[in-house]
Amino acid sequence: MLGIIRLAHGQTANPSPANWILNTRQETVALSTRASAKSYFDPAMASPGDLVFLRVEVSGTESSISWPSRLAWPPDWIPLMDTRGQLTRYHGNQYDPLTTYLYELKIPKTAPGQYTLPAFSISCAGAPLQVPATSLTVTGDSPKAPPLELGVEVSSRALYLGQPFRVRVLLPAGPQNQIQALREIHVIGKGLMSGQDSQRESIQVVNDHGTLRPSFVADLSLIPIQSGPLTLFAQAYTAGREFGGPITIRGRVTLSGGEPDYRLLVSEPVKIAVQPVPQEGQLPGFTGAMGRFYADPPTLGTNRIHTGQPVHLQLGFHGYNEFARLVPPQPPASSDWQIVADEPPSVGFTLVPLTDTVKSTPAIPFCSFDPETGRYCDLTIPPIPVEVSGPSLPQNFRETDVGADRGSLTAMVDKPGRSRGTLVPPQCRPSDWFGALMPLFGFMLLWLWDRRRRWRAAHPDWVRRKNARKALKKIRRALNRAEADGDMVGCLTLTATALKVAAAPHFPAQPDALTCSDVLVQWMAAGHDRASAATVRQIFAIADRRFSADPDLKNSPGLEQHRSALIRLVHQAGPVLDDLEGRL
Amino acid sequence: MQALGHGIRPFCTFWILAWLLATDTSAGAGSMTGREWFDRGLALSRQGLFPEASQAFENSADLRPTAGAYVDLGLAEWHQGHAGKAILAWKRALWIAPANSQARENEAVARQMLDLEDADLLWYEEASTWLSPYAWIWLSAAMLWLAASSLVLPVVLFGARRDWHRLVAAIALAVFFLSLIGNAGVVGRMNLGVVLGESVPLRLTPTTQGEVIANLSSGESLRRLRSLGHFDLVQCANLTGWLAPDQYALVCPGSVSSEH
Repeated sequence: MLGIIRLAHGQTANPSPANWILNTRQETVALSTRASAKSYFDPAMASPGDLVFLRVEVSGTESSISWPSRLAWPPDWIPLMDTRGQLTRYHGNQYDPLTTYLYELKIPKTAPGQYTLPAFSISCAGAPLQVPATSLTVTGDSPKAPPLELGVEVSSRALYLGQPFRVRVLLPAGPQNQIQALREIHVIGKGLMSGQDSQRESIQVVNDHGTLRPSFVADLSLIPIQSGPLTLFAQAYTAGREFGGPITIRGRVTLSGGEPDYRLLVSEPVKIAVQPVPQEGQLPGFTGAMGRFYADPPTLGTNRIHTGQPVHLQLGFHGYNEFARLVPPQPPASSDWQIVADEPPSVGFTLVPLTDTVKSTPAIPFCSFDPETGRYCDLTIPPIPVEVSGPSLPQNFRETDVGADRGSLTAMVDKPGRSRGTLVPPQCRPSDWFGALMPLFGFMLLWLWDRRRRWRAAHPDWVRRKNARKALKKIRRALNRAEADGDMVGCLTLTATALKVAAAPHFPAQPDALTCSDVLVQWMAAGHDRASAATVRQIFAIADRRFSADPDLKNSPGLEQHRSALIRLVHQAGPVLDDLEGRL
Repeated sequence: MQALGHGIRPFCTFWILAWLLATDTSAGAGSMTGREWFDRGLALSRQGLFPEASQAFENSADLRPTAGAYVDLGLAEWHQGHAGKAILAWKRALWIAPANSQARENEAVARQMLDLEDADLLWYEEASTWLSPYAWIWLSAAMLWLAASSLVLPVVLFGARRDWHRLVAAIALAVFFLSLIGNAGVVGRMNLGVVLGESVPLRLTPTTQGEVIANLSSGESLRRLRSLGHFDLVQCANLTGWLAPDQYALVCPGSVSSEH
């Protein structure tokens, strides 16, 4: 962004063109007359290595001129910078526009001689216009006339973004302290904005490179709106004694008469460094106010008000230094107050209580940044006690108003929060439907279990037989182990138990409750012979000896003598047991 | 037993290696997790590097959609002047977490600043904004199976159901049927979208030369009605017209033909 600060040319001493603008009988602008152009080197004689200016002055408006992109410079001549300016001069009885094209050149160290910039053609208001040729004489020892120099001073070269600063444009007096005014003062630079203060002009004695010289001084304020290193320079027209208004003259100066010599001057560039205001330590309510302020006590119109009655809160701030910039505080959001900020330049608020429950005005956060200390200054407006009477306003009105006051985004969120796999809702994902239907499988298992349970309850005989078969399998395995160990008594005891288990479902009864006769009843009912019944009796007789006075069968005398008989008995019991099991 | 041990060891080793490889692949060769992208975006935004921050937040949201990532993505886009993308991000944050006050507040502020109105929702769509889509589907499932359990389990386990079993079943069924409304609203809201570009032409016919009915601003809400070729029929405020799919984005990007 190229910011050109154009300062309005104010009213000058008599005769004043601006005064004539206000007259009803206005003068005409010389646009229809034929444009003319002239060019000259300033100075016309110079030495190798000197800086010279080429000025081309065209009596036409800048917008109507079509300027060539490059001029036919002599060899090795390279312009250091170029600029252009426009001014409206009062000539005769009409306004005459004047546009100046200015080039700054450094003469190369070549042989002395006369160098000519040939004539060239431009277009002005659509008509061709010839710019005449001009010559520069380069000599070894050219007379050094003191040139007119435009100076620029800035109040500070290290600035914060948005901090106003002063730019002083100076034109030192010439020989015999002849002073000239400046017109069309422009400060050119990227990232700069004109300040609130208007231009102030004066003639005062300033220190010019160690020499006190009376100078024409124009003070203006600028505001940087871009951070980083910035460069600015000033340009202005000399205007003789056409001052922009009443002017204070300090020092002994000479004001020459006659027609002013409108000459476009440029200054050397000035560099400044701009940094953003720090984020650390920023207080609530920072609106961009720069400088150190002190606040007057806030003044409330009245502290006894009715609901809905507006009351004005007047604020006052004073800056400690010249270049302070006050940006008024923003109205805070409040559900109990409707707050309207005053129109600038007034600083205050109109407050409307929405309920009679409030006891004070809301605190209004506000702060400024002091560039000198690099810190924020708290200027919060404190609450003021009030008495509010009357019923509250309707709720919807209050909500609407609060919504209108709300106007800032939230800060960044530090934590991402709970994650979702995808934005696609589960309503559209088959996997989630499957998950939602998972309990159905549980219900199916439950139904199968209940069906089995009901069937078993309806068929107890089947359950008993199944349990008996299961128990018999277990007893048979134990029987085999006892037989392998040679435990004859154990074999007979297990055989008796197996016979009872096999016979129990037929009664039905608990196996332990059966006796030998009960088993024989089932045995005989199956149509078996009495010989096998005797085997059953013998088995029970031996097994029941555990209930006798000497239950230790293993130690009973004569057991070893009957071992072979016992083995035969166990073998005979096998088919009996198989038969009983087969009936289950 | 020893042979069994020899058999199990390679089996376990294989599966452990497979798991490690799988986790390494998911972590990605040099790629970052969603949380890492989020933290990176946060750091970049604090330095004022909002284009890079929004890219980081977008990566985080792609890998791990969270309300926080979308809120910050919206703020980063807003700072770049992308109102449409910012509002879209905040709407997605609200889609995930309807109770997220920051996303709601930011969207309201943005709409107030830009003087934009939100899309008109049907009554059941409005009701569906009370809970997240996940909550609606699981509420429906839980209530359905609670009702079924209240009716079935007492009979199976205790032989008879009591009055309070019937009461629980009735309440659960009622909530189930009410939650179906929310689910329908979620499905309806899947067609809501946000205009991304500035002065997007809404055309009368689905052609590039179609008559322009209106130019939509960035951040305006719309409802997609149907698609035809390279155009979608959308409704924005009281206007219905055809819009190129690359000029808007749906809040729920997974819906049919919405990945623009």
